[in-house]
Amino acid sequence: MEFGFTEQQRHLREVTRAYLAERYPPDRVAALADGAGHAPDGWASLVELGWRDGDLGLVEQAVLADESGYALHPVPWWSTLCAALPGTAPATVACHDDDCATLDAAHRASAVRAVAGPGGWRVSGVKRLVPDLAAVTEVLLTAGTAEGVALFRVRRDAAGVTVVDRAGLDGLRRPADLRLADTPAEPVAGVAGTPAALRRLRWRAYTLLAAEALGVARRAYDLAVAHARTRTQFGRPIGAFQGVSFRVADSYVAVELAHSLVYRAAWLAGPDGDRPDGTVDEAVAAAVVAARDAAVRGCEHAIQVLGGIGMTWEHPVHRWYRRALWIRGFDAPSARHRAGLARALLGS
Amino acid sequence: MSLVDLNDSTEQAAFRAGLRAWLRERLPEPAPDGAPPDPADLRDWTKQVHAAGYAGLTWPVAYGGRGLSPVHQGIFAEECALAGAPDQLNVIGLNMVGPTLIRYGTPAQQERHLAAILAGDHVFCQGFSEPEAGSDLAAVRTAARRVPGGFVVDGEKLWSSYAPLADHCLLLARTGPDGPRHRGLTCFLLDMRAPGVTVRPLRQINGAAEFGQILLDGVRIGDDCVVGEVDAGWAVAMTTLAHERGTFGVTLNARLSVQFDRLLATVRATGHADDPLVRDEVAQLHVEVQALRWTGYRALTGLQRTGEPGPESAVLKLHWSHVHQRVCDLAVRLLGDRAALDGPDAFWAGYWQGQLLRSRGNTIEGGTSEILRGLIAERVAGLPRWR
Ligand SMILES: Cc1cc2nc3c(=O)[nH]c(=O)nc-3n(C[C@H](O)[C@H](O)[C@H](O)COP(=O)(O)OP(=O)(O)OC[C@H]3O[C@@H](n4cnc5c(N)ncnc54)[C@H](O)[C@@H]3O)c2cc1C
Repeated sequence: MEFGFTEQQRHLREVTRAYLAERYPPDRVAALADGAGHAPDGWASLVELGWRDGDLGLVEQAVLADESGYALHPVPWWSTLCAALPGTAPATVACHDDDCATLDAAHRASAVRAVAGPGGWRVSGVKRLVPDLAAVTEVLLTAGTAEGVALFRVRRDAAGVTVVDRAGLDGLRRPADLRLADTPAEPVAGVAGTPAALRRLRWRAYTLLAAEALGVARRAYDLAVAHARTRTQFGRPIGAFQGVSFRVADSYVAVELAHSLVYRAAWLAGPDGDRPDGTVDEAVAAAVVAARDAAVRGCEHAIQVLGGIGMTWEHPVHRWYRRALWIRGFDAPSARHRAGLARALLGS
Repeated sequence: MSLVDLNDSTEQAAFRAGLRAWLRERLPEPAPDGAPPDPADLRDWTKQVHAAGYAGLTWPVAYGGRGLSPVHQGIFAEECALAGAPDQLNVIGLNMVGPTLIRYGTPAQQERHLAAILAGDHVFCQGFSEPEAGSDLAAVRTAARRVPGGFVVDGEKLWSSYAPLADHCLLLARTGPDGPRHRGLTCFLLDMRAPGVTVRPLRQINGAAEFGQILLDGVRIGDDCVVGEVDAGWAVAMTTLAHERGTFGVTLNARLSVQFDRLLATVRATGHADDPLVRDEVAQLHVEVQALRWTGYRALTGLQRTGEPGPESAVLKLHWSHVHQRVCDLAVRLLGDRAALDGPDAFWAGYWQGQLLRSRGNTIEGGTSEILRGLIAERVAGLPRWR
């Protein structure tokens, strides 16, 4: 038994952190969040650095997601990994629609219809709140066929595609509705293979999102620590007051605990994991519940420690808070993940 | 790229299997009501563990240990908890005093105590806390006065776990004159049967007498019982506390997992298995227990790689205590109005009521939660000291 990073993983983390810190300092991230929503030149360098390499395991991808959350890496990398389409083009996933509220039910129903014709498959309907849609070129989506739900890919610039941008809470992961009218689509998984493909997608999406939440929590902790060390009131740094320092310590505890669950989930949900029935589902659910909480509460603690300055638009902390809230709102709420855990523990 | 590996190695798996078989064969039937075994059984169990070669797993071979990794210690803790094994009576000797003597003790002290600690013949307690020195340990007043050939000690120690059963005590006393408070303290090996030593068991809020008061009235201690240097006992004391907060976390987690399983049994037995609010709370506690468990493995791996307990160890004790209290508290709430009963009429003979009462001490013993948060803020976050 060995539960710690390998030399290579540590190295990967250091290199990644240095790259992101140099390229995306908080003021650039803020400008992008208020402007384009993503770094237009970011994708090419990411591909060059190997972030889309096929030989990265889920643990290594979690390291990248963790650091991406720490920096608020302004590229649609998480969405692309969720889609896991071949090639290196930026992509996203569109499962949610009027007939599908959560990923764990996405194989059962879809409000988008797929019809096979002489020229191939065509899809029509509306997908809701697709993340990063404006920043990608490919979309993986569920659609109902006569036999059941299957997975398809469409190009965002294909015929019949309309992207309706929605105002979003997180300027760096913007939602949009995807309207499809007789849009040409390429099958990715048939009806028989779709439940398994969606399960793997859900594990990947949630594990990497939990890793990203961990990065958000670490950043919030660092922001609070830096301020608590330097801000002076009543003649001493505010970190000397226990009302402040205990909050900081609690954030640290939450980060460390979430870290353990996130990397355990990444190890189990990856191809090298040893996974008896249900183990992966449980590990992923636990990681999501803990990391979401660590991120949201970590940001809230940071804002409190920062005082008035943390309430200003200029201070970057709200960028991470927004991401934390986005992560918390994604797909199924934590209560639903806990319900899954309760089923495993106590039966249904 | 190689990855973290959360599975036992072949050798670890074999160790686990052998241990499991041994436990199954040796263990007295666990009390069905979960009541703690009585002290006589505890000493006997300690001896059996030693006879089977499971005492001092991480101690160096040269000192009678097995020279195994902290991971083996973790496996031992897990399997013992799962099998419902009694506590190791000599936890303080095995986990704290032994490693401290290996590091600071003279060859004669090592000769005198190490083998006896392993065998369960020298059960140790720890005499650090005093009425005026709890969290502020450096305020220790118990005085050791120099006399030819040794010291004469007067003072009072409080809350000393296992003191009513112990043969020896690792004692912290003031030897130096006033001055910087951390200097002038010395660690001693005290024979609990020496003239002038009186132990009064203290009854805890759950009714048990697990800890005691140690009164020291003109007790003579020889020079050969000084651990480390005279007036340099603070560093020795800190080493023992680091050991307490180090691998012990894994033992605590293993017991917590078992306690959580008892909670699940209680949920079912009290007819709450379908209650959505209870289910939600149980699932949240499961997340916390798993987080502690895997953080414990990280801490073990860190210990194995660097030889030092990392910052995760403070997290372990701190969070463990709060989660354990929440587990006990939920269990008692599940009992509804039957929570007001105790003794034979109560659910599991009042097991949970007793556990809840005892668990309140978890956030006090071994450093209060406030002191541990302060430690994290200062040592990990690098915030200024509060004083
Ligand atoms: C079950 C149990 C077993 C024990 N076993 C042993 C043993 O084997 N050997 C031994 O030597 N001792 C033992 N102790 C004693 C234990 O170490 C002390 O009780 C503990 O260190 C607290 O000291 P105190 O009781 O004097 O409380 P105090 O230090 O007076 O603390 C009272 C309260 O004030 C808070 N407080 C104190 N200082 C600060 C501060 N700077 N900032 C914020 N809050 C503060 C504390 O957190 C606590 O809430 C045991 C205690 C218990 C409950």
